[in-house]
Parts: sequence; C-alpha cells; structure tokens
Amino acid sequence: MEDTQQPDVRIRGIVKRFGAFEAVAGIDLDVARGQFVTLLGPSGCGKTTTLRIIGGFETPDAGEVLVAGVPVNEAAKRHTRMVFQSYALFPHMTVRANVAFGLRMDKVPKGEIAPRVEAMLGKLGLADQAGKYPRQLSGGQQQRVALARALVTQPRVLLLDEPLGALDLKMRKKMQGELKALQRNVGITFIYVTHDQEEAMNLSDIIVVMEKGKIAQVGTPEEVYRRPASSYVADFVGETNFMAGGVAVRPENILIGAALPAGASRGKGVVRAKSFLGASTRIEIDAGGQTLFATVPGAVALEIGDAVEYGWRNEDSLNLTMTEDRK
Amino acid sequence: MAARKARDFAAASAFLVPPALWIGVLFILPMATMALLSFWKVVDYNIVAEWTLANYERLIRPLYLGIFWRTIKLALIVTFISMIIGYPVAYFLARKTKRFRLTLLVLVILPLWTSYLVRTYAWMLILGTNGAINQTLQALGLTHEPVAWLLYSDFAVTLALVHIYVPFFILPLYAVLEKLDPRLLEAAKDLGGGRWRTFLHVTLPLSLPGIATGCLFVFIPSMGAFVTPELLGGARSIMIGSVVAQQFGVSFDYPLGSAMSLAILAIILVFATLFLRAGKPAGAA
Repeated sequence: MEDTQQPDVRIRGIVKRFGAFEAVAGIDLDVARGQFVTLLGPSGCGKTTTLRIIGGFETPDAGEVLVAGVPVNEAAKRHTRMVFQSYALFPHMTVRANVAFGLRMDKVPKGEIAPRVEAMLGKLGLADQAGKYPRQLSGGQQQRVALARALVTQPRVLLLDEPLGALDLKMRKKMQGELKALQRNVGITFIYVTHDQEEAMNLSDIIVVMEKGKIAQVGTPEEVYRRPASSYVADFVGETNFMAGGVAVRPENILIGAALPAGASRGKGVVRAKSFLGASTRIEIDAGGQTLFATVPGAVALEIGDAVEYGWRNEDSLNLTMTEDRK
Repeated sequence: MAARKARDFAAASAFLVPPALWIGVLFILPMATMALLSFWKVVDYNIVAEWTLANYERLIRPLYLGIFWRTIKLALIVTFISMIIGYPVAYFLARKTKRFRLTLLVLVILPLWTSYLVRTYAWMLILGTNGAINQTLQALGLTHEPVAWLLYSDFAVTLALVHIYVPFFILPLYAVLEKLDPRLLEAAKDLGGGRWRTFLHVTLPLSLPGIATGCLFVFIPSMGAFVTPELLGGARSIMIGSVVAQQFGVSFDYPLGSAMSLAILAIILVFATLFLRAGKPAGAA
C-alpha cells in the first residue's frame, strides 16, 4: 500500500555552494501530493538551484531530497520531469518525436508509444502541429510541447523553471490559466519557479517565498499576502507602505479624506501624482518627506498639489518582523 | 539628402574596392584563364589559341582516370580517419574539460604554426629505413631489417595527410559542439536518456553541420595535395595534384593541367554538395 500521508517531495537541510556563493543556505520543505507549489523570489535567491536539486541536476553539498520517499540521487527510476525556461526542445526532432523521446528512453513498447503521444498532443491542443519542427512553432506552442514531452512520461512531480518567462504578457496570462487547468486535470504535483509575484498568486496552492538561499515564508497566497512574516515578504509580495515606527500598510488599505472612520490612524500630506486605472485610482502622497501609495476605488476628485488627509484602520496594518533592509 | 546618399555610396564603394580587386585579380581572373586554356592546344611546346576538347578527352583515359580515382579514394580515407580521430578530440574539448580547454586548443592549433613542408619532412625522419620507428623496432629485436612499407607508401601519405589536416576537422566541429545548448543534454538526461543514447539521439545529430564542415575542410586540401604524396608516396602512390604540377612545371602542358584542375574543382563541388546535404540536420532553417 502506498503511504498517502507521505509528502511527494521532502527536502531536508539542503545547502548548495558555488565557490564562495551560497546559493541555497539550508532549506526544509514538504510538498504534499497534487499541490501546485511556487518558489518565489528575486534572482539569486536560490529558487532555481533548489528546483535543480529536486530534479537531480545539482547535488547538494549537504542535506537530502526525497521524491516519493526515495532519495533523488539514488533513485533507479526518477519521478520528476523538468520543463526548462528555454523549453530545451530538440530542434532536430518533430513535435511528435520530441514528445515520444522520454517514452523511447524508458523503453516503452513501440506499439504503446504512438497512442500515448497522440493522446498527450491532443490533450494540449497540439494535434495539428505533430509533424512540425520546434522552430516552426510560436512561443506558446513550444511551451505546450515542452509540457507534453514531460507529462507523457507520467512523472509524479513536474518541475517548471520560469516556463512563461519568454512569452509576452498576453500569452503569459493565457498560459497561466492553461497551466492551472492542466495541473488540476493531471492531478500531479507541480513545483514552479518564478520571480513574478502576480503569477505566483494566480497559480499556486502554496507559495514559498525565498530570500538569499533561505525560506522567508511558506503559505497560501492569501496567508502570504495578508499575514506576511517579514517586511521582506510584505515588500516582495504585493506593495507595502512602510511608515515611521515600524507600521506597514498595503496601498489598498490607505484611506483618503472622508473615507477615514473614527479611530483611524491619520496623517497629512500633499498629492504628488495620481493615475486613474479604471476600477481604482493610484495616488502618490508626499507625507512629510516620506512617499506613500494609496489605491482608492473609482475616480478621485483630488488634483496634484492638493493637501490630503490619509490614514488607515489599525487592524489593517501588517504585523511584521522587520528584516535587515527595513531596520 | 541625395548628396549624402551619394557620399555614403562612395564611402561604401571605397571599402568594397580592395576585396573586389582581391577576388577579381587573384581568384576570378586565374580561374577564367584556366577555363580558357583548358580548351586550347599545345603545338611544339607552344600554346595555340585553337578550340579543342582534346584535353578533356585525355582526362578520361584509363591512366588519368585511375589517378583521379586513387586520389578520391585516398582523400576520402584521410577524411574518414580525421573524423574518427577528430570527433572525440573536439567532443572532449567542447564538453568535457574546462580547465585544460585553452591548453588543448593551443595543442591542436600548434602544428599549424610550423610549415606544412617541415611536418612532411618530419615524417620522413620518423618513417624512413633509418628513422625513429625502424631503429626502435630493430633495437627491440622485433624485426631484423627495416620495415619498408612505412615510407614511400600510401600508408605514409595517409598518415601525414591526416596529421596535417585533422586540426581542420577538429576546429569547426569544436565550434558547433561548444555552442550546443547544455539544457538539451539535461533535458535528454531528465527524460531518461543515458550517456550513450543522449549522444546518439541528441549530440550527434546536432553536430552534423560541424562534421560536414570538418569533412569538407579535410577533403578539399587532400584532393589537391601534392607535396606530401610527392615526398612520402611511393612510385605507385601518385596523386592527381602531382600530375597537375607536372603539367605546369615539367611537361609545359598548361591546357591539360588546366583541364585537370577544373576536373578536380568539379569533383570537389560534387562532394561538397554531398557533405553539406548529409550534414544538414532535420528541422534546420
């Protein structure tokens, strides 16, 4: 019997150095079966290295990674597949041959390969592209081929390294929706790396915010946004106004003028800039040498240079540990 | 506007004049002269401007046809051996070593710093009856008399040509292998491809353009080689390059020499087309 309680991926104390640079500085993480988990952080935070260690592309200097209970480096049959940032499609093979590659390498019987490949191509809407070469495809199509090539081998965990990075914004939004639907459809664990916090919020069941080779916070998108563990997380996930005295408030929680209820914390400032965004208006307030951003619903009658009273409900301020950059 | 365009055009033209002259004077003009000569006659050691196909008819006589065939065969063997030796070297250089890459590259290029002639003579010293190999063999008591076929033989010519031209195989292949996206190899490994199958299905097909270029770079000079076969070849291992040299030197038969040169050119063009076609990977633009 399979142990359903056992996490798909268990990471224990992994460390990875490149020369003097410590890319991963001690990470512990459990990823439950079927979850969409995102490693989020700026470049150099160790997210890609962590992913590559899970995939067996790098050997950690310390610690270990178990996938389906088996140490990654000792597994006879690996349970992970990687979707690379640049897709890494084989340029000399057709779409069909690219997708069949993993099955051929796994020595799947010939008669079984073709139907599985065709089914996977159909699932990803690539049936018409099967005979084409990668360079004849659009970025989005190449992306889907990379997914099909990995998924057709039925891995237990799919690793994705900034897979939408090369696409334009519109395509990226579209693929985000498709990725999420695909993950639900195939029901396997996805571990996704990105530096784009919106993408992370949109896709993930669990977000792992990383900072300098360590985990800064693990939580659902809502937890990470509403209760960021540190000023670093508050700053990286969403936008935050850091006030004097260690108070932090999200721009949408900054209230203006008449909207301020009794008992709110208040301050006075001058409107320095404003932009109308349709559903909301973003106002930049000069509050005595400090710049605040407020996002208020609808249009606002204020003009640049107008005096403004701003404030926030005390329960809306974030309760943060201040990390070095804010002390 | 117009004045400026004219000035730009003049400037661009000025830059194009030297290469145009270079190609015109040193390449097109001699080729055209040879093409013309190949249709003329020689009467009493004088070239006579009378049209004839006789030079080409002489080429397809068994004597010359045989030498052409030998030359093609030898050039192909040299190319093949260079590929067998050069591929692992280029592969190692491009994919397996970082620390010794520069040193090894210099070692590959180093022989090119010495004259072709010096390298050929060096082989005479090594392969001759009193050469290094024979003396060693005799000192070890492995043979009582010098091994004769080492020098003045097809063996000697092949050996020396491979030695001289193998860098020309290694360098273009190295350039291709070095540019090969390491993510492709990681992807192949990720999908369960072992070392050998990753090489067979990914590295090898993607390095075909480098192999083709390398083959071409070895095959072309081998087809035209004449100093090496002259010095190291036996009486019967004559190559077409030597015959061409004879027509222009000893025999003073420029028209026949020209016809032969053009025939070599034609053969090279045929093989170049074959190599490049074979070396075009599937899915290439």
